[in-house]
Amino acid sequence: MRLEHYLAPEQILMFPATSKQSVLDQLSNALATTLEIDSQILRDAVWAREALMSTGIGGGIGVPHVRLKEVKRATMAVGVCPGGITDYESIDASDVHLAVLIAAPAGEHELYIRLLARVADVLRSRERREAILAATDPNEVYSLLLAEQG
Amino acid sequence: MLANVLQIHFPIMLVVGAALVAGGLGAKLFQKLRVIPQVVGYILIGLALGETGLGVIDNPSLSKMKLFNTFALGVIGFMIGGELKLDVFRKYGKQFILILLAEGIAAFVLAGALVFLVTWWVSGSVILGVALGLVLGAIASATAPAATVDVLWENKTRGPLTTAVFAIVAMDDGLALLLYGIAASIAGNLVGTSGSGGGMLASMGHVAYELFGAVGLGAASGLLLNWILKANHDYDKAMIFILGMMLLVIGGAHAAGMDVILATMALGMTVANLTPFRSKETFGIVERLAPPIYVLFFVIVGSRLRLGDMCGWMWWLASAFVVGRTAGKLLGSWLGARWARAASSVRKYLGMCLFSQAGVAIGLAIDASEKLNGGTTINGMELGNLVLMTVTATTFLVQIVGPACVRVAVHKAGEVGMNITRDDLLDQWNVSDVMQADPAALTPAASFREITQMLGEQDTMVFPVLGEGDRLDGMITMQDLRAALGQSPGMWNLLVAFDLMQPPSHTVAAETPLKEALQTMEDMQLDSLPVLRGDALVGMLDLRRTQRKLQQEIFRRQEQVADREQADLLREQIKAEKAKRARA
Repeated sequence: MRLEHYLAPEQILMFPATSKQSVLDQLSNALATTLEIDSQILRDAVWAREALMSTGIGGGIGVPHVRLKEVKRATMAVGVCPGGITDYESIDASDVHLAVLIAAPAGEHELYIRLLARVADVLRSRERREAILAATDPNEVYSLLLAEQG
Repeated sequence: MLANVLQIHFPIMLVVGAALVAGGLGAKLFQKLRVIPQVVGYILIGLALGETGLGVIDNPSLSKMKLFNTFALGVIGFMIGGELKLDVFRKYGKQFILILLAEGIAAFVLAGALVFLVTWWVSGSVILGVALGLVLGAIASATAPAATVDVLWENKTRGPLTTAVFAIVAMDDGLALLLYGIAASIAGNLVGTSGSGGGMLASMGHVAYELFGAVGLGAASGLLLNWILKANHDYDKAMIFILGMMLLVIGGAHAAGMDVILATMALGMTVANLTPFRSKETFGIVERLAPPIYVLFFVIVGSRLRLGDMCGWMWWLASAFVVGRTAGKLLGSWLGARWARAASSVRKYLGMCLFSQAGVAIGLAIDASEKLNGGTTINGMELGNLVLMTVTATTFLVQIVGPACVRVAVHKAGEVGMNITRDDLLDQWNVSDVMQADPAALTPAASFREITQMLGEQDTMVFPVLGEGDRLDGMITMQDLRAALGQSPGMWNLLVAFDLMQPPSHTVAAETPLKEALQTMEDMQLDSLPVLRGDALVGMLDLRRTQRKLQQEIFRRQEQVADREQADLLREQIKAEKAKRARA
């Protein structure tokens, strides 16, 4: 599974130190524009999912994700925040620096799961995470995310 | 030629058509009333179409349909023969014969005695009283197998009472014929008509010929039919041979003056016992042919009843016949069952199952009208006609009361629904009867660890995910879980039930007939279906669980029958032991 099929450099946003609300809203807006759907619907879905359990999986990573019938193809957006998001409520209570929002069509269950697994795999490497946080523009982040994919 | 054909056959065709359609409608109407068996519907329609009612089926039509009547009796005999398995006889033979003799002879004696009293009171003649008492008493011993057995089939009964009823009504005709043969010959001599001629001994010989000849003819034809069917398996050919052989036996018995019912009963019994498995198909073929024949037969029975001709004292005669016969059947079967140490349900309820009378009784009454007419009269009424009118009028009553009593008896004996198949249960049950009412469920926020833990604890492959107020949000199947389990464990922390669930493809209501729900599951290849009331989950319908429940229910009912038989046997053994000790 190759991430470039689901991610474009335009969908990578760079943030200064900020809040969870701001990051998730802006990522949702960016993705809604790409997918040509109502951004409010996407934002509501993302927050409804967060309300069940935080998607901060530790190691400075957050992977908010939703399945929606309005979404016609699986797509993702990445938020890079070297300053950290302090209110993300990760399972290890650490600040989140990388947030990857994934939206998939309601019927694409297996693809959705595989995409989540792929993102978790790619970000498992500490060196890659540090290199991404040190990057200065979205294109560099894009290259780092796609580098050495299996 | 054509005109001839039209003149002779067209009206009778019309009559037959009207009888069938109206009979069918009548049965449907009575089925809705539930309490009254469908045969009563046919008979009432017959009454309405016959000379008592509209007169559509008049006397000439009736005599033209005589041949058909014989055929219908033959078919009924064949189907009853199919129920008589030798192993059952081996088990109960002596018991049944004792009960049969007791109930038959008690009905003969009591009905005969009361008829004698009424006739004596009306005519002042002891001889006429004895003659009429003998003939009507003999006819009183007969029980209509078709109407009785119909109720057993309709109610899917099984158990000691059912077995006893099958055996008794099957053999009842033989006993009635024997008694009638002797009684009619004595009566004929008494009133000076002596229809059979040649006195008692010749008459007895004739009865023996009628009975044994019929059994021999039926059994020999059964052997032949069995041999033919071995080589002809396919449906169409088998049907031709079965129908052909049945007509040969009916025609043969009729022409040779033998008893038609006994002959076809022997035919059915031979086929059923030679090849118990394959013969199921044979009887299935006849069973499919049977409904219109039964309808017509009972409509004809009804149309024969001419209640308008009955005058005051004749109602007394009819009442004596019914009261004596009913008391005889009740008392006789109670005594017989007691002597034979039959199951308590047989002792208590068998008598109630033996009230119906139809074809054989009317047949014997018609025969009596031929043998006893032309001699002495009572108040201007020929003796033979008196027998015929009494039997037809009382037939009407017992045909309405009889099947209803059978229904009550089998209900009280707890044998209803015990002969049930999987298809019967599917027709009776709704989804709510088999669903798991309180299924294991997840909340949308349940973690992946909680989900896998539940998977280990529960014997199910599908988990409903419930929101507020038990609202069904989605389902997680094994396949959904497998997609996640195949990925690296690192991502499992990302997942809650909400991420894994999918909307259910189908749902079902608790009131949906089970058959319909299972059909949906088969069509959609689903192993389970959520059961909803509104949008709330009330249960899960699981295929494996449903199959298990169906099997368990069939097994439970079979066990119940076996337990009851066992308990009866034990009770009798204890009683016998006590009696032995008391004697010692």
